[in-house]
Amino acid sequence: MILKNQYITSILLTLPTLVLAQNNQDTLTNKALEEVVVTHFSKSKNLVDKKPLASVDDYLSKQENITLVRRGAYAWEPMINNMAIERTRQTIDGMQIFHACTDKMDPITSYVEVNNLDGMDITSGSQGSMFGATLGGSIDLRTRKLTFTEQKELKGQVQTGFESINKQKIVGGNFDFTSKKFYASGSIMFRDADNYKAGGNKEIQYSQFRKLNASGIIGYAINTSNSIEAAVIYDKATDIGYPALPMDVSLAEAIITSVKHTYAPTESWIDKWETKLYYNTITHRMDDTNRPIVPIRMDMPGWSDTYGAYSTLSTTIKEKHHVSINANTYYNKSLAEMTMLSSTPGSSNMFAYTWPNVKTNYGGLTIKDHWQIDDKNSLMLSGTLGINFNHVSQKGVDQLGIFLNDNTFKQNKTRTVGNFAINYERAENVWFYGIGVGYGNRAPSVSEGYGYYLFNSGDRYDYIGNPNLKNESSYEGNFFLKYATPAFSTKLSGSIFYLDNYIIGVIDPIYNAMTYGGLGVKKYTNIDYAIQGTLDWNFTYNIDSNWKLSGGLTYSYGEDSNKNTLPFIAPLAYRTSVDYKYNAFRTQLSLKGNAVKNNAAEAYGEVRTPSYAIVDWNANYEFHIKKQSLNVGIGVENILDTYYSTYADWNKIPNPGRNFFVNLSYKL
Amino acid sequence: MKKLIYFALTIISLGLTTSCTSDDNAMDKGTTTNPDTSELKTKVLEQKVDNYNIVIYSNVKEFYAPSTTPILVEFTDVDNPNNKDFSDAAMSILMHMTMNNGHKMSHSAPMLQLTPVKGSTNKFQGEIMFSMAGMDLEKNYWEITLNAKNKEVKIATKVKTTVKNGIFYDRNNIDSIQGSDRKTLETFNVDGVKHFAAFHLSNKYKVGNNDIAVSLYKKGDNMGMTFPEVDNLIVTIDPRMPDMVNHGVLEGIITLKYNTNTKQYEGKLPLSMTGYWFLNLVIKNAAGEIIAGQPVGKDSDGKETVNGDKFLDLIF
Repeated sequence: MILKNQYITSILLTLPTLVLAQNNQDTLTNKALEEVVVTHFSKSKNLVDKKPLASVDDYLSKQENITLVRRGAYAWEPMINNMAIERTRQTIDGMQIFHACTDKMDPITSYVEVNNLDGMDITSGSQGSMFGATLGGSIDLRTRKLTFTEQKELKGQVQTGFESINKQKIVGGNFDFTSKKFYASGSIMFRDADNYKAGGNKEIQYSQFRKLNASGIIGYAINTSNSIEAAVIYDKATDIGYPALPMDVSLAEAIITSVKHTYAPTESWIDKWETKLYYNTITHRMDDTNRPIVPIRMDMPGWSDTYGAYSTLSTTIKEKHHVSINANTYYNKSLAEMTMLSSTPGSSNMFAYTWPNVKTNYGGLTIKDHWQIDDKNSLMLSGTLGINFNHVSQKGVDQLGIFLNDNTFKQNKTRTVGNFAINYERAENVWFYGIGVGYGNRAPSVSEGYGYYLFNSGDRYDYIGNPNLKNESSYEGNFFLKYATPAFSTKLSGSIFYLDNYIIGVIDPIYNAMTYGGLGVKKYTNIDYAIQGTLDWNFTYNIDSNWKLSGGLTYSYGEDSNKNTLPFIAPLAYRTSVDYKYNAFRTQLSLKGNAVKNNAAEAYGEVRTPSYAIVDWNANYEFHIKKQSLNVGIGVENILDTYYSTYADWNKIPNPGRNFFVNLSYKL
Repeated sequence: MKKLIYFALTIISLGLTTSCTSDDNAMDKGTTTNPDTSELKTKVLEQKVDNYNIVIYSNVKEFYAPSTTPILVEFTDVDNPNNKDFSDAAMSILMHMTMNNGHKMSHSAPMLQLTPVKGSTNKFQGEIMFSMAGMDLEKNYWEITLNAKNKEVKIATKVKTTVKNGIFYDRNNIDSIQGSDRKTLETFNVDGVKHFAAFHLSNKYKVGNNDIAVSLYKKGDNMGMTFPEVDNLIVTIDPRMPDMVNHGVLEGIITLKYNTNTKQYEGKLPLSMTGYWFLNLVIKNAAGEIIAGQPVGKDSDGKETVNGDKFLDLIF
């Protein structure tokens, strides 16, 4: 069945590609637009920050449309437009990687390190990524890119840092070697942190972590237009505490590998054509060994293996259409288990599969056309059509059969998914504006479809998957309005999503809780609909060449069809900062905060969150020593040592208090 | 055009690449489940009669009582291993006792008669409800009388066996789960008549819905030589995990339905995970009045941890 399905998928992928390619054959233009300004398309800059050795989570937290759910000091869960991983697409260099923890304690962003990355591409809404259907948006982490150089060049840097709040020691380094035919790069980074202290010097137990990350890239130029690259990232985190949860993680390990072929001819209708084969494997061991008192000791390891491939072709038609076509396929196997260690010596342990070996095959085709109609008007059309196939083990069928007393549940399930979006933009002197509409359709995630007794310590319910869920779909509208002069720019933007057949856990009153202290069982269900929206305003004022003032406000909204607030919807959030720079010296004082959140998602176990505001300061100076340089970054976060927790802090764990940091990077 | 073909081929090969990676049998990454005990592979008794060898297999090393013990009887022709045409296998059982005054007595017990194992002509399966222990092959022992035919040749033999006292989980001592025997036969009295609740061998238990069957028998009027089936009572089971805060199953108490064809009380047991399951047994009369066992009660903290005195159990 799996085989048969993939043949169908392959054919599906091939046909439209051929047709489209045929039409473009005569087009010889190849000048790609360097910069694509798209509605809501916030293409993040390179990872240059005032705090160079900040975690990937810290970088993400500063991006527009991104919020992070925090369960401890490590591995925060990114949400785009207040939507979590199920409704968004998160990739690393286009590679699908699926977290291995049933409790979302290892978002894929936790398996990379800042010195692996060049930047991140973040999109909002269903015009989303090049790598598959999405409703809320996408994050694609871009790893370091190297180019072939005429002369041999070797660059390198060593990095070290310290943070006072959790005695975090950071040490790392990386090198890049480039030549005419060959390049190589490598990086390594190690972090070791103790428990952090919340405001008022209160130690947060079980918030320590240790992380080692290493990566390597080699590239070879076959000829002027063909090159090949192999890359590997190895990430191993151990002894990770999750103060918000009843369990910790003894090991989170990932191996991410890929081989890429790039064809970039100079005289051809093809601008660039990139094909990648990849494989990644994640092992995640969750346990409660370090907790002194638990009702029942538990081990909950999980594994996720993914094989995939994609091929992206970019071309320019009649100098106006910048077209990208992406064919994408992957296979994922997710398996997780739960062993409750019997309190009776010698007695047999209790065991069940929390992810009963769920296999997913996806094949899809994405086409994007950025059509520069004239100097002022442009249109962005994008669409994805894909087939999502799931196969679950017989044991999974048996387990979930307890909840579905009928014969409707089969081992195999095929779904068609996709999205389509159209965005129009217009530039008029200093004014820019745009509107867009989109549609997206997604398959349930492994947990939503096949999860078995996934305990949510937030609302204290056990969650049960439902393989008979309908696809969830989203109808989206968005707009932006921007005024920009060199001195002053401001932008108002917003999105609204009508989510049909919204998937969420609904209490099933027939069933008892299985987990000790649990309130009951929630089964994933399609509710009628939900509505989510965000409205964002920001400004930048360049007072003079030294001083800059910036800030913004974000309002978020989310309600289900029964007028219940959805979980993890941000309250009114604001930020403002003053920047000063003089030659190689830069400094920033910033304030950020949230208003009180009274409309807690009580139906989903949330409680009211008080308002907070914190003040940060940092400074950065680059000392040049001949050809080498030393970059020194220092700063104080949460200067007032405020004790606070946000709506996105799982079980309201408090945030770190006053933190002094020093980051040093020595460029060789 | 060459490039087009190359592109198309690449796309096709992408699809094929992942299709080669389906590994359907790679389910088990280090499970911790107990070995399955439903298979009748342990040789318990062996006896030769003429040129026939008779082996009795069970799922226990040694018979214990009280228990509902499945047995598998295999006949082989020692002279001609190809001769496997056995039929009409039947057994009867007797418990022989010697009283303190030297008086000898015997009685039978409920059982499920031997029936051929599907796809075999020399293997027969049945169940014996050992109602008491006997550890002396001279004075206190069980005797299984076996009859069968090999083509037209009649085979008859008696096999003696000891049956030890079972050690069962004590509901007042959680540690007694360790090393306990499975409780598969419970007894109770109705109007002074001894009744038996026999928990039949199930196929391999799984996390999910499991078919289970319980038979009720009562002691007949003829000095314990017959045990008629009882069809007019109500059998309810409340599955619990005593070493996991005594949590129950999704539906709570399960009432088994009497099946007039099999003469068994049958139902679905939804086992949400592997481990030790205590099946709290409550028997009611047709009027719904409890005549044996107690429902699971609450302790001083208000938690449902007080199990009744009648039970069956299983580990998987």
